[in-house]
Amino acid sequence: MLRFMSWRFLRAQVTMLFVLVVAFLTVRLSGEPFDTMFPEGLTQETAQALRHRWNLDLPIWEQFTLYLGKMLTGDFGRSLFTHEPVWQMYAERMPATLAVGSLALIIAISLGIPIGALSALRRGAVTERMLMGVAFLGYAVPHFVFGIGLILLFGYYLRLLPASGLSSPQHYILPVLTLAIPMVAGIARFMRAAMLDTIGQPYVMTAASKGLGNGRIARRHVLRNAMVPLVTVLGLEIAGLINGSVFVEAVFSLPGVGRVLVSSVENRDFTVLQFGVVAYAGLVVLINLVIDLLYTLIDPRVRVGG
Amino acid sequence: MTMTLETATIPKPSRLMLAALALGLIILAGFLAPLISPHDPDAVDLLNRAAPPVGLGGSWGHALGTDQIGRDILSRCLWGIRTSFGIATLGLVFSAVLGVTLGIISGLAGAWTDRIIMTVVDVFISLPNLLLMLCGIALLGTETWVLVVLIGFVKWEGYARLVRGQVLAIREQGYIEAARVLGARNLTIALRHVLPNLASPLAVILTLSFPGVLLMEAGLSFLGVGVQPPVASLGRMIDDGRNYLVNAWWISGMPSIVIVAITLLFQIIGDAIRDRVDEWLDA
Amino acid sequence: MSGSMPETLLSVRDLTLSFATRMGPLKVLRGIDLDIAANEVVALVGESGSGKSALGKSIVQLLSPPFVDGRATLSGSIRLHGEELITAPAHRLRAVRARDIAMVSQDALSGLNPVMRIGAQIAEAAQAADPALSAAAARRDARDMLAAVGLPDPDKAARDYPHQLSGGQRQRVMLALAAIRQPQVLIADEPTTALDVSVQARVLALLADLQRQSGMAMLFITHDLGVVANIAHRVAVMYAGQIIETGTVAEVFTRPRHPYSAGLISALPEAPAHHPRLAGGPPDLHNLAPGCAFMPRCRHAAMACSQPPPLKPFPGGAHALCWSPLS
Repeated sequence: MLRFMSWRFLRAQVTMLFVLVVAFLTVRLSGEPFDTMFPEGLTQETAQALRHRWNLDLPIWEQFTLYLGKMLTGDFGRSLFTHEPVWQMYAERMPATLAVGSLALIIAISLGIPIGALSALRRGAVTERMLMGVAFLGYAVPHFVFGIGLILLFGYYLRLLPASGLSSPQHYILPVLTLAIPMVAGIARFMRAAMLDTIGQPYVMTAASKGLGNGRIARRHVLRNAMVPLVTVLGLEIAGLINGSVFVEAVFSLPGVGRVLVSSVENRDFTVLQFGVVAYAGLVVLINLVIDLLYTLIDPRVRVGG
Repeated sequence: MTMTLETATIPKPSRLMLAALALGLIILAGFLAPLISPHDPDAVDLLNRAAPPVGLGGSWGHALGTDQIGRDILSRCLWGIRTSFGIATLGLVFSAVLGVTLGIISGLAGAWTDRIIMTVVDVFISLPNLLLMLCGIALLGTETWVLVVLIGFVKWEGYARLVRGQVLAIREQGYIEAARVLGARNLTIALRHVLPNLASPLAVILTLSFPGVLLMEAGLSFLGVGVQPPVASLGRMIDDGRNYLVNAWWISGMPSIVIVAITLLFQIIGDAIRDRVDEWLDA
Repeated sequence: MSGSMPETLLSVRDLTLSFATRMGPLKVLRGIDLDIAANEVVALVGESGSGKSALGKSIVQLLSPPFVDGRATLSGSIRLHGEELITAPAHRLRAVRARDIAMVSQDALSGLNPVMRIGAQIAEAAQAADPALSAAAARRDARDMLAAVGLPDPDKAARDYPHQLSGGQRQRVMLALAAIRQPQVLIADEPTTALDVSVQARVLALLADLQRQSGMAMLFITHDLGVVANIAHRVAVMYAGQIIETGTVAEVFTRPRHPYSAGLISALPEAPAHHPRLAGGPPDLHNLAPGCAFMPRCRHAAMACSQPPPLKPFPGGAHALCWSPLS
């Protein structure tokens, strides 16, 4: 287990380093940073002094180590556009993104797993068709179309729910559903497949031959084993969730970090973009680490070396 | 929902044929957009803004209605399909070329090159595509060719893995050794023995990744950082109509329906292909 | 036949099993009659596809995994102490599986739940057999059982997961799983095929020991005639879903009556050279002629063999389903 985790940890670090390099190069390749930072028409000496002041006269790899050091100490710079501190721009928007995303995740897991499991245990044509239909739509309908559909239905025709902003608890319903429903479908579909696969395993027959009741077989022998592959898929689903949150924030005009990120692309505000990319990537890497840890907890074959 | 329920009752082969036929018609319509679209997609008609589609009080002159500045939605959808498929096809071909090349290098070169390329593959997989795309767009701008290149850059890993695996497998087999004894170079071997065998799995990957790429382009355009006006794009059209949902849902709705229809059809075809592949693997 | 038996424990009569397939019903068992007495070991032998494994699963009615709608139809009679099992309700069947008829399958390597500790899996069986048993007592029994099946460090084994044990150890655990219930009947379905040859012998010896100590009856299913003589009292030979010959081990091995049994025995390395060897493969169960299923491969086939063969008794309690048995 230690070896497995330290390997995963190393990989996470490599990923982060890669992201940092990409982010650094993005800023660097975007043009001579000097020109974007300072007005034109400076004297030779002033320019030279400013270059020296901002370390722009150092070799590129030294600049990179300086940048790395700043990133690690929490100095993320200021927006090239609004001159606000980057950290603050994101910190203000973080709560909305985290709230909507984690609510969606909780709903997706707590609905997706039981729906998938039950549909595998009680196989009926109707539920099966429904589930597959929903899962199908979940894959084919992008978040921004789905969200607009929900706005049209609940916001404008039924006039039940507010369609933009996050000013009251009701405001959360549509964006969270937009994120959660495709994920519920994906998790349920995968869970069902994993359960069906597990039911066919010899150890389930062994359990049945012990004279155990179906409930106990399902809980202790099928469900636990079906969860093992699900955990790895969860990582992909969460990456999809992060992708989706950018769109959901746009559709529902939420004050989240996704919009900062998108507007930084539009404005070519590279320091803001840089932090966004590093932060998002860091989140993904962190989630993957947590999932690896979960995996080792749930699967003794990884936890206890064979 | 109803649609999937109905399609689910049609036997599989004919379902595949129907889906392929429908998708083919859509692609053809997009391809022929300059010839068959009833209006200039950019022609503004301020007197005829937000005209409803046929069946909701509109006329056949603008079968799917007009948008907020009076442009014909049907024409724009056709041009949008053309744009989407053009970008996706070029991007996927680029990604295939990139992936195959890196896969061959990874499979043939020494352990260290291989390890580096595979680490990069790992890293690529663990990062959301959207993030990489946004970085690239910020860097290179929002021209259409940028999207093509970026799609290539975020989608190559599947091909690279497949080709690498195959190259490694074939390296183990005797006839490569035989060919080498006869003086063939590694690259020639890879090109002659590996690629022809991989033509169909590569085509399968390409087909399966099509809807994802289409949605990526539509999504970026929806966010305003993809295809830029005046080029017609389905994602952009959906974004344009968002402020008019109450009175003119069709401005967003029509391109939405087109996107969902295309991805659903791809989904049906992809499922059928997967079933075939499974059957083939079982046999 | 039952007259010569001391006390019939398990009695199978006219058992038929068919699976619904795309090509119509597939008759896997065709009128099986079989009796097992207490303390008796019956070996069920035959080529793969002869239905011997299906017979074992039919007795405990585990023909398809739980939660799966089986395509199997079972008819006839299976009586345990005179109680009919075919028509028994589900809860009664579960109790029978938990207490009375245990089954050890050939999947030693994948028959144990990979995410559950060995001790817990055995304790679970103990508690299923005796719901009054406390969890602590079940754990203790499980540990003792692991010692009894010869695992070197039973305390550690109880805490282990299946992947930490070797194949042979896992099969010992499977035996422990069955033996802890002190069943009246053990169905051992090729319990050693997945193991190395060197391990096979030791696991078989253990199985024989467990049987002797507990006095349970055993149906030992195998395609390996070589091990039958060491473990079984009686042999039943299956072919194409029928039992074509039964008799004591000594009787069948020295004087096989059915040409097929003779062929099987002659395939043994220590067999006398004059016996004819078997040619061809098992028949297609979808296209069985009404007569003897072995006829196409039989050297002694005659005109009569195209009619369903009779069950002929022989001195010493042997029976053969054949028109022209060997003498």
